[in-house]
Amino acid sequence: MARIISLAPEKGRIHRLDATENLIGRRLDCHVYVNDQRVSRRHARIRRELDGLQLEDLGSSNGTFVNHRRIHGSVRLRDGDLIAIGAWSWQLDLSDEQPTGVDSPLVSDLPSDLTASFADLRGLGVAVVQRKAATLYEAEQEIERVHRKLQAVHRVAEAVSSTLDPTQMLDRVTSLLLEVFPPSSRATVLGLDAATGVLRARASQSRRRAPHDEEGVRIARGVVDRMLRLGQGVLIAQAADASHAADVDEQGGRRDSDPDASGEGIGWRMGAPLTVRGEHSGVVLLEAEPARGYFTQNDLDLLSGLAAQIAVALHLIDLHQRLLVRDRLDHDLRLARQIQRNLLPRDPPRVAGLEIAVHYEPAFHVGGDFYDFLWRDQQQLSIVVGDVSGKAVSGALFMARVTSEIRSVASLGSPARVIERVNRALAEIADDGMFVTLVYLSIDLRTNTMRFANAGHTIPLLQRGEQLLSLEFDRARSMPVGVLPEIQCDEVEVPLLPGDVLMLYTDGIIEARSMKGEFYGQDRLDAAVASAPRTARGALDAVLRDVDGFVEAAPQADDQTVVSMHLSKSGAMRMDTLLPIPNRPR
Amino acid sequence: MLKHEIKREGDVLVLRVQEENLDALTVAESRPLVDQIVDQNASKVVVDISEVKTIDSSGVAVIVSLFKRLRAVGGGIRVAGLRGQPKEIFHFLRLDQALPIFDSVEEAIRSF
Repeated sequence: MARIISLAPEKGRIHRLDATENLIGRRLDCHVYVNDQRVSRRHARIRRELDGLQLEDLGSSNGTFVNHRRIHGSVRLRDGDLIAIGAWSWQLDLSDEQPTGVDSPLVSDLPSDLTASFADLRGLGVAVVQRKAATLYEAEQEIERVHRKLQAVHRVAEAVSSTLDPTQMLDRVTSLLLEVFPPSSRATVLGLDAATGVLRARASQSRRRAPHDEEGVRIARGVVDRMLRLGQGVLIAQAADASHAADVDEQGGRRDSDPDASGEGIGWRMGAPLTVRGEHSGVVLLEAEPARGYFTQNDLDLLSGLAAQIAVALHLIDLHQRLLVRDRLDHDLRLARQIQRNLLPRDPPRVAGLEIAVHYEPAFHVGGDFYDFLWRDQQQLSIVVGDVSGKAVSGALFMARVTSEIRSVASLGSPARVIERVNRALAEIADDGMFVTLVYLSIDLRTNTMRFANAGHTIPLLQRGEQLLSLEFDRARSMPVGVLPEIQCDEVEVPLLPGDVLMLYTDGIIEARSMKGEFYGQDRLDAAVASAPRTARGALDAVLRDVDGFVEAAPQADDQTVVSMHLSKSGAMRMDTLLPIPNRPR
Repeated sequence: MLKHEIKREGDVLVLRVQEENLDALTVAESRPLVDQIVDQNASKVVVDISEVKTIDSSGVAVIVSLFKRLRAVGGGIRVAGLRGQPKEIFHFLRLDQALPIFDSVEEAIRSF
């Protein structure tokens, strides 16, 4: 096995050149790691070729020297060549002898407490100096390894705390894992959806340039499942052409004393679960290409420790994200409410002989209830009251769509035709089950007649003299808007008489609940209307007072909308008694 | 997500709703459930709501959602075990004109 022996500053230290490509540089993942600012991050590399070893300077700032001469490009190396980079130098040894510690001229017994002094690091997941080193050189190697791993832990800790963006954090961490584990060719973090059990890549970094790296992570689902079940990392070898991962050694992985185990075509993988308080949020996986070397149990220990850090950071970031989303939602809701209030008419139209009053109270920041007043011409005023099944933002957005659709077809005049047309437009877009109930009512001001149709909405009430009429006509009822692509709708005509009080409302009124959980109900509403003053405002206030008295301090669960109208006794509505007619009441 | 159980009876998928109140609170975030059923390519689905005592518009919306999503891919649903307030609501909304209603799950399965 070819090797280079350090002459300075780590005299006697041996680096085996056992990979096809051995990097020398200041990057943590370099095979020959040189901790010196004057050395480039990827300074030079020694490549194993068929006819021997080639040393190549990778465009370093301060140059690479062989036998005291600066090289340009790459040169072939011979046994005994002196390689120098900055203040560092090595001698190439191509003799096949393995260094044996006890025969080494540097032999010296290690202080026995060295092993113990590193034991504390175990808790961090850092691999420790597990066996007592036989020589000072080996001890130095161990310390170097521990140092690099501590550095890895430190850098991962830095990376996970440097950002609150989970994607950015995981991108940094996966890059870092490639540096920390030199054999790895790809690092991937898979997220586990707790509800569905589906694994999805949240971040993946490969040494190869990303555009060419399109193959997925090759890991048998069974291996991941076992990791999650046992809550432990695994180390496996997988034949490069096998579709299933072969489990080589679940416990110990490959041993260092078995140099041929990383044979041709065997790719190594190791993984560790991301676990916080017994809950798994995913796994981190590293893959090694055959040419780059293999993972050891020490590597797995380190990876498990790093995975614990990553898992905690992910947990905190996700928590933070959820809080952020909540705040943002709150803000969005306030904004949506403003927009919605602007969509709904601020004041009812003023019509001589017809008094109109409106109450609108969304349960949340924004509601699914709506109402509108539409003029077809100077003689016909339409009033619509409706309720979108969705709540909050989704309901409000849909509501905006509904009101605009209604306005665009209001000129049809016929309540039934309006409902049919609005249904056709909305059935296609309302794919998540949202639907709309509405009452559409058109009053002809010349003839004092009203036509209306009801799409699954509450029943309008008409107080006439001492009589309370429920305007419930089977003929004029249809399914809510947005359920079926086509609905058949019909309408009825009802003459209006002076003194009539007409009330439209949404189910937030009859489904208002008391402290005991009882519904307010249709009967209480009917009674409240029947005993209310015979004016639009008076009737509306009486109903609201009655509802308030019933629910007491119970929270309002649904939007509440009431539109009441009163036809004055003094005279029929006539065109010439109208106050200035707005083209579009706002 | 509402409490439920999904069973297969031959080529029919039976969704048993295990909630007494099918309302805004219990149906919150039930979209993944609808997605899951639609994704299973189930073309015949029976929704068993015999355990449901009250339903509100959000609860109805979940069933309407399932109905519309399945119809879009050529499937259909049957509603079984409808009684009391939910039955009144379905009738009030005239949804019984669009959705086939059955007293028992067995009848609903046989009707496919």
